[in-house]
Amino acid sequence: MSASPCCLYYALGGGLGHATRAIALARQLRRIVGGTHHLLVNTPFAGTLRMVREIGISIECLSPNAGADRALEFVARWHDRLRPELLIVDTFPRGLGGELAVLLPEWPGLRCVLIGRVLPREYVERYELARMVGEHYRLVIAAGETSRLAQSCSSITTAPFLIRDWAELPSRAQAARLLQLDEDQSAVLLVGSGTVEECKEIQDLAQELARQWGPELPPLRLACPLGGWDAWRSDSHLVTMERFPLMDVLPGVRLLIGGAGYNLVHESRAAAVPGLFVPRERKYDDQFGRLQDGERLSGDVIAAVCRELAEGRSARPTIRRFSNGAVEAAEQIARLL
Amino acid sequence: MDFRPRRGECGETSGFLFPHPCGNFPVAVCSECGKEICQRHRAQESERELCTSCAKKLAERERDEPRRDRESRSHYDDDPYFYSYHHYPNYWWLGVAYHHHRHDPHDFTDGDEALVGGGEATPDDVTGFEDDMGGS
Repeated sequence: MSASPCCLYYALGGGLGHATRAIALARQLRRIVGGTHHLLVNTPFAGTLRMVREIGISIECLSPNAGADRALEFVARWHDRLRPELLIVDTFPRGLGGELAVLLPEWPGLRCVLIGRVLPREYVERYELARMVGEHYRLVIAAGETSRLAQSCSSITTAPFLIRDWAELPSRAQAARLLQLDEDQSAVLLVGSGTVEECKEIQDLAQELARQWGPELPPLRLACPLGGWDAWRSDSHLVTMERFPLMDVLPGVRLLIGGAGYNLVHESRAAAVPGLFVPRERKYDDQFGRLQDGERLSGDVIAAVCRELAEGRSARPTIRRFSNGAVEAAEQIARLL
Repeated sequence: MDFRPRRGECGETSGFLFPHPCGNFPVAVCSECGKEICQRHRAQESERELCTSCAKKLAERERDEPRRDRESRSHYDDDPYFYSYHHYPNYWWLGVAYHHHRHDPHDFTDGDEALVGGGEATPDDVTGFEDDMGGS
């Protein structure tokens, strides 16, 4: 193994999910092997990722408007500049636009690892992803969810990747301060995620809820990677913030409301914060299948919040020690170096 | 893929190019059809909450009545979902064919005609892979 290995992470894709998973893994892998870890992203929320302060991890951004051709050039340029020992690819073995299918045959010595997730059968079959993975990848990691590609080469299944370990979570009092609460308070947290349009929708919802929010309800907070807060800072019922990683505030949250993406759902469960989620149709994800009974938001939001609070499901139980799949994955990947 | 509205999501259909379920968080229930609707697809008619489809149907019904309460719906003038109806009334009087022949770039597209009629997207509209660098 190189004394200071260089690892490249392909984390292109919408939202913050791909980058969050890659960062979760990169920080664990760096603990074991050191070296430098470079993430490639094209999320429209790259500004939020500037809040990441992890030594040895850098984030290289491609415009979210760039097409597959520019993505190919972008990935090739960073590969040629860094000459990494390891390429870790999140979700898309061929790349989001098929660019890795062009590039990987040109890099035969590169060790490749796939963070495998639920992909639609039609996509897997039409693009012969199993063959592609078998030819170019050394390891598939099913990160807390099943992967149709786990049989294509050596594979492991881990718990979901989390960007924070149990021991890293702040205390409730610390989290309350981050949420601009009194130390004995906890919040109902609305979370914007997914696409820019979906973030705008959650902003609209937050404003609507703030108008109806009763004083008997816990304080309402909105975390969203979109800027543009100035227009509604005057609304005293609603405090808005941009925070990454969101997991840092979860000990101070009594009820979480947001989309049903990978990270929000798994972080909520790990931190024992009850969540009400709205699943969306996704081309490469199964948000509906991710949710368990009682986790799906339906009907009037205020009524759902009141029901949750009344049923005591959101009584903030102690956060039990949880396992972070990124730890086990990093241990396995380190063996490849 | 199931394109029917799901409980917990706005049941209205939207989309300029490809009509698809709106899917936003619902904030109200249409008093006419019982559909859950989001803030953007909520129309208020007197004391009633309506989805945009029902509000349009209601507006069409009342179009044949005396214009006694036209003033009361003047707020629709600024509502994009009623834009064609108020600013291009002939479209509504003469039907879809007129719309096709006198196309105005500011008019709604076929997708919005489907919206009015409750049309649904087909899976072919959205199942292309490797064609969207914002996919996830």
